[in-house]
Amino acid sequence: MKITASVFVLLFVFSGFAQSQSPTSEGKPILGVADLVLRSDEVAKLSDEAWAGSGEAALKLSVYYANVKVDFDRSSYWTLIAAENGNAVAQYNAWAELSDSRSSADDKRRAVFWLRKSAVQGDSDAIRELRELERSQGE
Amino acid sequence: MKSALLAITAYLIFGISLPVCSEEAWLQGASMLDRNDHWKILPAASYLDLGNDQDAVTKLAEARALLDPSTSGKSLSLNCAPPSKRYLVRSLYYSDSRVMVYESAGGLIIGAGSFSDPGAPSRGAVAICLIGAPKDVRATAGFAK
Repeated sequence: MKITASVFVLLFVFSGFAQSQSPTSEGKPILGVADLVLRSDEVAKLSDEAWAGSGEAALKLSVYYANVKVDFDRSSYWTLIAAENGNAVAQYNAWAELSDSRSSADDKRRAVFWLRKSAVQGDSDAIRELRELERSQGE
Repeated sequence: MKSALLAITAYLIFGISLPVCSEEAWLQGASMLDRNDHWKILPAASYLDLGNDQDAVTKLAEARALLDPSTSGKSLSLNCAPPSKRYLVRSLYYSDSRVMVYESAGGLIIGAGSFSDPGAPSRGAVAICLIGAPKDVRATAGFAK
């Protein structure tokens, strides 16, 4: 009995040590982005805020899903919600995603729509890219 | 009693233990990444995934990012309009992955979403057009859903 108990204690200590040393998945930081991790209650709170119209909350979710969960589809989903909620950074990000060379012609047209929205709000990157786009179209 | 202890032990070993990802020291430690930063997606035209290109990976052995010194090779196909310059940046590599780059005042995050079978990523590199050297570089890797 004593031996069994000792083995149990040793395994318990080892298990705890191994977990503290292991960079793991399953809702924990994947690699090097610990500061961007959201707890499940934070995800729920941000989702509620995003559905109520917060662009900032939806943008945080899109960054979380892209960089912590590596779920690009869900990230794009929240990027568009953030853009619809009027967040200028998200509108720029929507342009960046939709203007990918693999995007359809319709997506590329929609990308410019979001770029203009972001530029109107004064996003300096969007203004620069829009100028560049208009210059290239004028050539 | 014995079986209870065995059950708890088995749970501790097999139930709680999570899969371990490949890890490198440069990915650990204090991060300058701030969740409140405004993270912007870099347009795909601004970077080129070099995969596990050995030449680029070797150049990045001692640095997370450096001004690209290449005079030949894959990275040269990325043209950077001044004032931006071409940098080589460390990343994580999967054979069948999509790379996405986020930028903020704090630095860069290079994300690699793999469509292949789960496994440990290896070292990779991305060529990126940047105005200046990034403050910090972080990489993520996972299996795209």
